[in-house]
Amino acid sequence: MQHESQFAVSCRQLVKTYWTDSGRVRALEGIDIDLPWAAVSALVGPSGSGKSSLLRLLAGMDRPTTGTVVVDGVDLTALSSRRLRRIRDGVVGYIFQRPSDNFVSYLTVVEHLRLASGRSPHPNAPEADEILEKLEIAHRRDHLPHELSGGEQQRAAFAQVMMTGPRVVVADEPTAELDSASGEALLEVVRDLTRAGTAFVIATHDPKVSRMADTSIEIDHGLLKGAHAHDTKIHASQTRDVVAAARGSALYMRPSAVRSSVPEVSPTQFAERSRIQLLQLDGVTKTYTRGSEIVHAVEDVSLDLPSAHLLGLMGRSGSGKTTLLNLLAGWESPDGGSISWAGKEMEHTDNLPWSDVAVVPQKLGLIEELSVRKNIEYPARLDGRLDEMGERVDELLAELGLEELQDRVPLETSVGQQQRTALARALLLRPRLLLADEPSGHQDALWARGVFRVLRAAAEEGTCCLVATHNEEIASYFDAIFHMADGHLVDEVRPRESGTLSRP
Amino acid sequence: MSKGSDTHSRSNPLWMKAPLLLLRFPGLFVSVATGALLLALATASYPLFISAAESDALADSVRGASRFGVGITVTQGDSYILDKHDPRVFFDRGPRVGEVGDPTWVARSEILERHLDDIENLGDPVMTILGPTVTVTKTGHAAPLQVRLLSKTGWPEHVVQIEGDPEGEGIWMADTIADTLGARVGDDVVFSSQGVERSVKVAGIYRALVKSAYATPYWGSLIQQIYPQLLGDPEPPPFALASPETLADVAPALGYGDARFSWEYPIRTREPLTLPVARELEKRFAVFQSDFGDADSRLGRAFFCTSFCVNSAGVGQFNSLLSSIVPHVDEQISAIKAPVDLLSTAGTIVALTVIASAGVFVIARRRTEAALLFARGTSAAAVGFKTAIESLLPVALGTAAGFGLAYLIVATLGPDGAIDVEARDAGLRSAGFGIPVAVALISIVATISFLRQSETASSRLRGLVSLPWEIGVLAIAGFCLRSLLNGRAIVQEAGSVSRPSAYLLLFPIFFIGGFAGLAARAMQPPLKRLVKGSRGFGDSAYLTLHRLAGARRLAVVLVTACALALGILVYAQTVVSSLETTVNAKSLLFVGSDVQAQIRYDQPAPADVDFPLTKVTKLPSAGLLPGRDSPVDVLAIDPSSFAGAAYWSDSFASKSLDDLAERLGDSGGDRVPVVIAGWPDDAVDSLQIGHVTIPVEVVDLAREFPGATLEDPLVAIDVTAIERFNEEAGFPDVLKDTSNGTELWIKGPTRPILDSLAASETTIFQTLTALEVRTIPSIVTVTRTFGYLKSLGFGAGLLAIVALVMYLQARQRNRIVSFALSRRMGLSNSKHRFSLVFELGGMLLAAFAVATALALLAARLILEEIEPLKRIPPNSLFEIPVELLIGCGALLAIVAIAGGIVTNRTAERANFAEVMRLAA
Repeated sequence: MQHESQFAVSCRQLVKTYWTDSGRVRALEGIDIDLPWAAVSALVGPSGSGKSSLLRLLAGMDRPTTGTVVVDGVDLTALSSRRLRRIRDGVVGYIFQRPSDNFVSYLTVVEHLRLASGRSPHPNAPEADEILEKLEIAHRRDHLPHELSGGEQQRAAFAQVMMTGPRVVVADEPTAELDSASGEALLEVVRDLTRAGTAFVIATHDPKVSRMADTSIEIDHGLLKGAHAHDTKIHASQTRDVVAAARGSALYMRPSAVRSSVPEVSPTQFAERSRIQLLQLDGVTKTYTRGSEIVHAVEDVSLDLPSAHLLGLMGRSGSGKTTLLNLLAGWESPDGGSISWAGKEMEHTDNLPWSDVAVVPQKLGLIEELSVRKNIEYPARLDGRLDEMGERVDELLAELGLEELQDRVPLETSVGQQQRTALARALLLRPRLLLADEPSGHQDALWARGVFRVLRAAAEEGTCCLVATHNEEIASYFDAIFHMADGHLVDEVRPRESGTLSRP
Repeated sequence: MSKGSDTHSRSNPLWMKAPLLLLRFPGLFVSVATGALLLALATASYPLFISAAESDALADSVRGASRFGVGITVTQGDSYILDKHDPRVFFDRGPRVGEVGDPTWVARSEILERHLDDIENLGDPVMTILGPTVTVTKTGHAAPLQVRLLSKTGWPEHVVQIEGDPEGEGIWMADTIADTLGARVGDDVVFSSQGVERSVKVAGIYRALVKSAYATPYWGSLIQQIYPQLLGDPEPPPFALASPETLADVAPALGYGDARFSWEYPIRTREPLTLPVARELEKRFAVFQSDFGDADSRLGRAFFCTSFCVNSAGVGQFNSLLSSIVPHVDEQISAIKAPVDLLSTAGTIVALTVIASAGVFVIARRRTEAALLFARGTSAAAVGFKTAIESLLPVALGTAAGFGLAYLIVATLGPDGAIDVEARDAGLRSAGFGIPVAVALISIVATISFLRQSETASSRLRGLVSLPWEIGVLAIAGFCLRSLLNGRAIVQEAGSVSRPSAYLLLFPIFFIGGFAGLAARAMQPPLKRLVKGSRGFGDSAYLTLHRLAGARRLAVVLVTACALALGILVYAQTVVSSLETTVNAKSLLFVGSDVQAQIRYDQPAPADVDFPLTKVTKLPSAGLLPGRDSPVDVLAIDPSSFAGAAYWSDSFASKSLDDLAERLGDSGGDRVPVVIAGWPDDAVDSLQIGHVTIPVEVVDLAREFPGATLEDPLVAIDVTAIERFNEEAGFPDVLKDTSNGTELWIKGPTRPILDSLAASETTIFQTLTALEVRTIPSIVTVTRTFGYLKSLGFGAGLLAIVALVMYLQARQRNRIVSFALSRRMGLSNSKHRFSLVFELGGMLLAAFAVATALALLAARLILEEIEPLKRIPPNSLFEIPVELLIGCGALLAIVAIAGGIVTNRTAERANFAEVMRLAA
């Protein structure tokens, strides 16, 4: 790929200001960067730091308040809307943060590729099936987006980009929903495209992406905090020491500043609690249809869930994790096998109260008209124990960094904060079993650890926490990790020995 | 590989799926279809409503003129009664009695047939031969009486036959003649004229036509020959009815060779007559009339006096009331066209707003798709065009439904008249024209919405949305109100029927819309305060309260729209009810009761009318009260029957009418009890009528009294007291003065009363019904216009309620995960159901309460400005449409309960596992 300009992307004194109900928000405050061709540039920083705003400007989807953005030698700020559209059409490919945002809901995967090829065909564009094979989603070619797992969606989104072959690809957290194998496959595609000359700008929390990136740019509060070039192609002109001041704000409270209410539990107590078997699955199978396809989501799974354990459930996208959680929650009925609760076989577990089985689903299900605090205390209200739970609510608000936000409604908080609200709601009644689907998926590294500290504490109090996650970085928190593949439990790893309660 | 080999060549899947795409998004489909429905409703209802109003007005006019009068009547002859032996006069003067059946007569009938045969909607002709007035006697009986010879097609079916055979040979005599002569069927009577006599057999006896209070359409053309023209005039001679052959035999024998011949072609349509049909008929009639009046045409020659004519005698006459009815109806309809057009335009604007909103919604609901297409460089024009294709199907279906709804609403809630085919086609054209307009608007708005994604200015616009737009709307409402209070409520243009002004129709829309918007905004803070104290509330109430307090802007807009629609409905009904109540009271007060029938003073009240009636005599400006310079009206009543028959409302006086009548009946003492209406002085002790002063005692001062006007006070007094004092003073005939009017006031249903009067033995000179007063054009115009407003309000209210229910359903779909979790937490099914019922009910109740309060206030503010018949008491009566309010309240309660139950059931039936799986 021949490039006429020196840099794939250049920004000068980039400022972006938004107006919201609360007033003016300065998302970016004078960013100066030059990003190279044929390289991956990782954009890192906490939620709300301005990464997404910067990505939208680079992709020609928005215009800066002041400053310039030059992509492939073209100053986007000087372009008319029509010419800017052509940039989006042929020069820059954008991959949205949420995998599902990369799709038109009523088009199949292959139709998306057809749409991409028809829009601005890359001269040497490969055939759709070839790309799908490479990304290991050929079997999904005729599926609608909602029939795909998050990981499959993300790969299909990349397939669209590969179909058009843009010079610059801007991606927002492309690996957030992927298991490590899927993420690895995706990064391999990135490497291939990079070798062909494409420049990637990827906003990410994923250490693997940061590690494979040629350059890393750190942004906080709209300011360029630091830049680490693995070669000399990057120029970072501005670093201001104002982030520290902002860190003092409660809204940016770090888990380390949170007091812990985890009771000290002796190894003996823990071992005793651990002997109580809460839920047992014996040869459970579950099949459902997805479009015309029959999906064997869970096959012959036998599992014992004891009290006082923090258990991980890992596996690739589409491996059956969510279906297994649904079976445990009682929202799915098994086609075969049996489920026993506290030694008693049950047809359904959906009639078990919140104090027995609490859930943190991926779609959080917060009541949007209730404040953060009222959402957390809602199970106590319905259980008739609202008055006695005030102190417990305060504890959870403090442990999960939500004290300052307790009177806000969920929409006025970030997705990460909403996720922590849902976790607090689930833990309020000290359930015997907690089922959580990616509870740290939208947390930055610090708060991901904070969430697991709270889960660890709950486990030590006696709750069995079963957590489905992709995040292998926090594997050390688990007492045991169950690996799923193609609906089967394939492995059980015990990174911690029972009774060793040292916190990571 | 093989599957993907054609990847590049296939058509764009976005375009391929566009035509049926919105079927995958029911909410969007319904939104777009609803906008199109409203547009079709607003545009198509205009021609349909006008057509129904035209037909209604036409039916009213035709009813008054009869189908014969509206049709064609050709008359010839009968201007001079001359000696048949004088050839100068007889020469070519038209048909003569003796010519019935001869070639000349037949030729005239045939030539009329030929000319009128191809005019649709004309019935079979009714031929009339009106012969001369002759004397009839019977040997050995009283003095001779006068009768008029008549033959008319089908007359036996249009008289009350007392005895005799219609097929029998001879003459049918009126019972009044037969009884006086002592003649019976089979007797011979002798007709005589100018010294010539002819004996004829009595074939039958019928009830004299003058005994009927009104003429049926069949007899309409002979009304002058049946009834006296003025009160006090002698009754015209009754008809001696005969077949044409008998008449042709008798009349010439008495020396009369000519008569008035007429051919009546009545209107006869299978469907009710509509204005376009009437216009077409009018055109055909004009052509016929032109031929008829042209002496050179064959038709003209047949009916033209060609040689010896005196004052056009013998020249054929053409008559049809259609030529005057059609312009009259046009005049009436032109009065309602402007306001209805205005409302239709307002409805169209609302519909276009809804369509534009649907265009925004199309992008907002699929913002992920829009954002993706934007990011991929798709042009806004392409998105707009794609949206146009997507919206075609729902727009077409919505338009069809809108036209159907417009037709249904106009047919059920609109004027009683039929909807013409042309109007239906015009409605279809209007609705059809709305399809490209709606599609284009959706497309344009979708294009703009798509473009706005990239514009940072959009975030600034959010501030503008929160500005209280209601202030501007209320300023317009204030301007309208000021104009109304300055006398611009009703427009009276020269030569036309008065009609409601634009201010009158726009005022409630802006007034209710503005205040409803403010009220919807104002509800949020108190709800939020209530939320703070909701800790101890039950679970259902707790949820409902939080949902209502945290309602989204869309919910607030829907509540405002619902309040506006319901408010317009209540306002229109309040104005119509109040007008109807006011006009009803005015008409009944003016008439005295439901029906007023004029009789002579010396005629007794008929005993054969089976309805409550009373006899009164009005003495206009005949009384003088001490202390008052100008005269007062006097109403002489029969206290024994007055309370049972006269119209009364307890608001008219402090006492009941029974009490007052009883007091007035006690008139045998020195002082005669009287009731005075419209005069504040109860110290009156005498009433002077003519030369007689009657000592009186005021038993009550009434605010209103039957028969009173706003111009002069009225004194009600026992008729026997007037008679007694006048007799004592030597003026026994004061009440017989023809300047006074003696009337029967009869209470009951109008038509049966008229039928009963027609069958009565008592001769009635003229009738007036309260119904006739109520249907004067200026009142009907206002009522019809508000009827249209009511129809629009009803339709809009229905849609707003449906929209609210759909909003709740959509919200519930979004809450499905929280619902599933809440159920797990212990929220019972019944509590959730109640919360939904309360939520929907709360929104509807709030909208309804605000709508009712504002509508009643708006109606109260303008009612006096549109008071009809201002000269007749009482003043405007404010009538709250309680039945409508109860009906609306009940309907909204049912909607809230049903909507809550259905939404809860939908939530219960949701597949939580699939929701969770898809969310993952």
